[in-house]
Amino acid sequence: MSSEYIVPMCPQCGSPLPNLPTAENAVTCEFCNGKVYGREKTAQSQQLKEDYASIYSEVMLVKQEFPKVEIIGADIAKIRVPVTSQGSEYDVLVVLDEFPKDIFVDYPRGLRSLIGPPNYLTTVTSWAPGSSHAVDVLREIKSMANRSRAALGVTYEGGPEDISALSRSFQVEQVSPSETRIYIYTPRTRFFTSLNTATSPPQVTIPSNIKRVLPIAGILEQRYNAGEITIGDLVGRLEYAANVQDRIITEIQKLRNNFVNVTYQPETRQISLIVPVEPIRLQFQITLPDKFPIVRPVITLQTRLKNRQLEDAILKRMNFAMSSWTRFNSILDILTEIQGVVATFLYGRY
Amino acid sequence: MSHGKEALIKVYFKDPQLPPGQNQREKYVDKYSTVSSVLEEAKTAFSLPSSMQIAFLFKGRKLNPAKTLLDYGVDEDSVLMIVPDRIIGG
Repeated sequence: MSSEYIVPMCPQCGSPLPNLPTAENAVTCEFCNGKVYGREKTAQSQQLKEDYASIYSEVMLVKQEFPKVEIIGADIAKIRVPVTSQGSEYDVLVVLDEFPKDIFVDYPRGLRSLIGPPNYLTTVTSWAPGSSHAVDVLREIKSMANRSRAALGVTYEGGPEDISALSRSFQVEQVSPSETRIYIYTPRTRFFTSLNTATSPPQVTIPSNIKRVLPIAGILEQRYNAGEITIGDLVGRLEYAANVQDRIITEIQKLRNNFVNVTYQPETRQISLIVPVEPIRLQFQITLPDKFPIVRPVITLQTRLKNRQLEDAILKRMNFAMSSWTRFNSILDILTEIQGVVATFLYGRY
Repeated sequence: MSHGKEALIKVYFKDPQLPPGQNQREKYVDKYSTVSSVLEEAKTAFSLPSSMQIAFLFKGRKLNPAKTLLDYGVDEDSVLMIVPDRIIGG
């Protein structure tokens, strides 16, 4: 155990002490007969002190924005934060035991049904030790709870003022007395939905280029105009579809950066590409299901290999990667695993 | 020749000899740097001995250590596969 003391000295008379005092074992000074307790600063205790300080400042940060924060029991690392979302209050449990390395968040089933489980939160999945803060997680929870209530719970009854709930989550603009536009922005997709309020009931028009890219938009437009779904349903589902589209664009960009002859058909949601490990070229076809990325993509190897052993190894690795699919995986992960099997086959092991 | 921060790109080193889930490392590299200098970074990332002869595969082709990543069009989210540096069949 390391210590900062080299020559222990009595704090009262300044004489050297016969032994090293510790926090538990006092040493009696031979000159003034005073009892001296040590204040050792071990690396462990120093670390604990720093951790405590960072947790304390984190709790104070949370308190600034969520004043009702409550410390559970004697442990400052466990806090309960009430998050209010349009009339309902949910208790969010935040455990900072592993802070700043990690964070644990939990909340009641009612809130889960609105925003999904905590491990779906972007701020939790992309937690960066040192730069992420608990208050960011709570902000995301609050904003998602507000958004999902606004997007899924609102009903449209006629006048533009009735879509005020939507305007809390989306940009809503009245461009003319008869037309209101609802803008949907995601990082890669931006478009608007026109609501014709001159007709009764109001009718929705989605631009044709958006319907081509997001085939579900056409179906939603028909269903809204037939009175089957509310404007909240329409906008909420469009935003979800746009987020999925963003994900698909990202996937295709990654595939284009790593493989050759990558083509994508939006109508059939099929990707065709070649995974090369010269001189072998593997042709793949990938079909993205409607519920992608929650449901795994269907990947088909279209090249027949002469070497049965290699083909079996590829199919085995492909099945393993597909069976362990979660929405956080990417198609690139699966294909590079397959590429790795071929590379090891060709180049051997070091 | 110095370059600004914009030359940094995120790439993934992949060692297919390790089990799935443990065989990838994320690294920010300068796309103007030579393949040989990035190879050294890959060795460090996987704790491989510096004397080990390895090469990168990108888009199925082995990269020449004397050239730069930019020469091969290595860009954001590219996967650089680590293989032993030997001639196939040799």
